[in-house]
Amino acid sequence: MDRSLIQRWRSALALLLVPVALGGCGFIPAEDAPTLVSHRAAAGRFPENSRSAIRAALDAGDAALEVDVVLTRDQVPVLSHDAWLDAELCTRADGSALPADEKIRIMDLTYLELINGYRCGGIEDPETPGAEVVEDTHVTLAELLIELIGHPEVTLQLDIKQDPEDTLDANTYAAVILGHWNLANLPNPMYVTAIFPETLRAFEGRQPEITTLRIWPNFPPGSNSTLVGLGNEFTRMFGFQELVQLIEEAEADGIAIAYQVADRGAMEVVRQAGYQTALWTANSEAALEVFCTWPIDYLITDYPERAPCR
Amino acid sequence: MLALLGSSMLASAPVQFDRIDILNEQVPTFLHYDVPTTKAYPLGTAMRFVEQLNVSFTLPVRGLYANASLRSQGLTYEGTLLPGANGRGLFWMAGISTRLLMPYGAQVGLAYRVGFVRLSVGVQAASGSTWARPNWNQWQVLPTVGLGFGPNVGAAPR
Repeated sequence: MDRSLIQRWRSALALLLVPVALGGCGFIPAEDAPTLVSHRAAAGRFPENSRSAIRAALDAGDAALEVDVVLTRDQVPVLSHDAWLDAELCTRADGSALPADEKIRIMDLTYLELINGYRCGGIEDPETPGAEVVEDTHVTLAELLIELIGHPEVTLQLDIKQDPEDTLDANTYAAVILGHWNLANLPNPMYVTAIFPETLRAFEGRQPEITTLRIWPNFPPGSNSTLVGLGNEFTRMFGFQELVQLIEEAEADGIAIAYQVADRGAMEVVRQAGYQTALWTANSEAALEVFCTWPIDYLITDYPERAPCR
Repeated sequence: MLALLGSSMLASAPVQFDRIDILNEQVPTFLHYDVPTTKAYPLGTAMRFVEQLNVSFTLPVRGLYANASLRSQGLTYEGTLLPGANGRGLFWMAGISTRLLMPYGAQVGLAYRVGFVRLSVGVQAASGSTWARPNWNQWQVLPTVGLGFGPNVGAAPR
């Protein structure tokens, strides 16, 4: 090959390598590691939102717990990811299966009807293989707050599962849940997350000092998560949606983003704008290793023991 | 007759395909932020790779190029620094980037054209400005790298 051509290619390669060396910003860890949040009280260990999961997480010294809150008909806040009983995870108290084609909403049951009639956690959850299987009744928010006594350093994330169709209204949720929280008078840091802006506005309107994060995007039950993710990726890429705009629209203090649609640059922009950021739900060791270096406040996982930033 | 007329019009058209960039200098976030997450979420990195693939065309003004990818659309001007054979060589460049015509950033740098290859290095200042939230108060500065392949018609003497 022509010697001058080789020389030119060498120069071009050197030119190319300079910004690569200068760049690689994504490999540099953010200044502060995120707080690791045990998703559904670390559903990788015990059934999601269960007594056994909460106790195991507190015993393991987890930094933060995320639980989902739903109100019964008589306005008792209980922990449940769905606003109805999940036929894949719950049974009737006698052990018989729940009808797969019928939605038993928690808002249609009183607390006593719920704990006398139904059990959850006794069926292995395909989303968290290897987790212990423990059948139990629903945990109330009051029970969780009692469990937190003696663990003042543990941050609590209350994910409010209020929605316009299957639950009581947002104002009732805010009044009841904040009532419980204020009554407990715990020193623990706490923040509220929700999908719908109305839910967050109800909490902010009642108690502005409460930290609220908007969950984004919304994966409706039964939807194809890849398609939902792609749709949101494109609307944001073309600039029709923007993270800070989504936060401000909900009058929230930050945003909690699914890792599939997150990017580090956008997280930096959100933080520079003075808002908080959370990422959900990273479970593989490879994903946790990467996201532990991102500029985020909270990293949500079912398996906190797998994260290097623990 | 129509085909002859059409082909003669195309031959004299000022807008011509210049290259495809597999690394887009207008989207440095791919190299800096998306490549490092490959291990965590390869599908996401693959998606962002496709989003940043860029097609460039020459415009009637010599040295001016239109660039379009899903992530970014913009204009770049290239001026000769060290001329090479057949219009190749080293160029300085400057450009603006838009998201669906909403300007959000600008970049400057050097481009090196050799054969069917175009390499570029530079720096981009970008805001998060979008139609949903026009805002030029926050800026992010990142080094850029571009790597494209094509006939380099814009650089060739006309």
